[in-house]
Amino acid sequence: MRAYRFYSSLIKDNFSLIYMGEFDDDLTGLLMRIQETSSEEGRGVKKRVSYLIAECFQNVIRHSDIDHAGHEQSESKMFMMRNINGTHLLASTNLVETKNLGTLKDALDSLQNLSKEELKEMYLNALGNNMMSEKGGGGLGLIEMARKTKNPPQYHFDQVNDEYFNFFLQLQMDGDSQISDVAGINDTVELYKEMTEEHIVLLRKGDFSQESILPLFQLFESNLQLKKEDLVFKKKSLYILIELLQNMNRHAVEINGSKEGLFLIALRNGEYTMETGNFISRPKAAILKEHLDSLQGTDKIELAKRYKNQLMETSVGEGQGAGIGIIEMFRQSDGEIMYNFDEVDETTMFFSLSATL
Amino acid sequence: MPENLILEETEDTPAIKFNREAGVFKISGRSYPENAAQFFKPIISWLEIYSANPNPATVFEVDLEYVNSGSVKQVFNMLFIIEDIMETGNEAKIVWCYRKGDELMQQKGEEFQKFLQVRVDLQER
Repeated sequence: MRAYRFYSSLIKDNFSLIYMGEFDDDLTGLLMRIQETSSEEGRGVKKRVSYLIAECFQNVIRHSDIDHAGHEQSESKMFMMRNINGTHLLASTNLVETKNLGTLKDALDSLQNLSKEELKEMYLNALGNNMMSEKGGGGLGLIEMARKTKNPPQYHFDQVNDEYFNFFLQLQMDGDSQISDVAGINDTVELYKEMTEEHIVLLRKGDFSQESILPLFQLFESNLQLKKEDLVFKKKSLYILIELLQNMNRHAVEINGSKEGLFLIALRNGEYTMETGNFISRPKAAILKEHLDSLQGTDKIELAKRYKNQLMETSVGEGQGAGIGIIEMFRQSDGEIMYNFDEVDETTMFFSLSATL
Repeated sequence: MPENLILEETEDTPAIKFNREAGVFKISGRSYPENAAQFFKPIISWLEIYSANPNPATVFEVDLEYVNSGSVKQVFNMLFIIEDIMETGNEAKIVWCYRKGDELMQQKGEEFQKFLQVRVDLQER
């Protein structure tokens, strides 16, 4: 299981979202909403970040070059947003053709070490000329990114083959408190590689209150449904997703006033794996483990019986469903349920739970 | 006699339409609130009062698209109350709707048909 590993790599993040699914314009609004429900920051900051999300995201859609086979390599695209103690990082990855590399690199280099005034002048010039690219937006986007973040965009190119490079772009918007060791572009490249190796299409770290998980259902419904026509699959997977996320919200230990956790979806050979991870108190871990152990390997008939018992039980667990959610997960996922408890300290464990469909 | 109970559908809670005079008792939409027991408490209370002095015939319609397990349990509690109506000498039945191909909601309907004494009609839409 990998939730704890990724959680540890993103340990300082108040919030992170890494997305490698289908890209379209509708997603921009959804990502903004996810970002806006993710923090208590002022409207000004949120608005600026939202603006940058739109720029950064549309940059991926607009400038992705198509590979020679004629189809876009959607699995190689990435969009990332992270909030590390008030410092916002936004990053994107997409394919660019080798022949466009030079122009892009020049445009990015021209933004380094410019004063506010110089940037403004450049912006006004670009507005007049529209010189950069025939794809529209022409360099303006990049200049705007530099102006809004007050930091030059960081970039990195990784060769894929003779014709294509993976283009990494990262924006950093500093918060009130200066942080010395914010992740640089190389960390992002590393993270991207790990995500690709693990076939992860969505990763989200942060608070998992109901308000912040609702946009995730929407994201899953509208953009991660690669088997759109398969209603059975769609219904079951969303049902299990809801159970997993609400289960996490129910059991997680509160740290600094929020129920911190990590959630990821991997897609491999047509199989979805959804995994959650969160901190949990040791006594709760013991109860959960016993419950899970008693269900693992149990056949469908026995599971149905236990489900019925829980359903009939009116006195216990009125409030929280008393384990019925986990029974349902075992019943409805035809694949496998996996779980693990990692040692953290004397009082806490890290609980990972995954379902494969 | 309780007033009608009308709740609009939200992103994670269903629409409730309980109208005694019109003879409409319907729950529809999505239901995955964080705390299902809390959300359904006033709805169940309304039904309890109604069931003590119901219409001569009650048709209770369930038409849910997405649910969480906690909501299913609460819906089951509601159906139990509808079942109790029969003890007052009045008629009651449940219409359980599901979309064509929605195995999950179909399965829930079939299970409830088995678990309950009151008549449950499954209706594919």
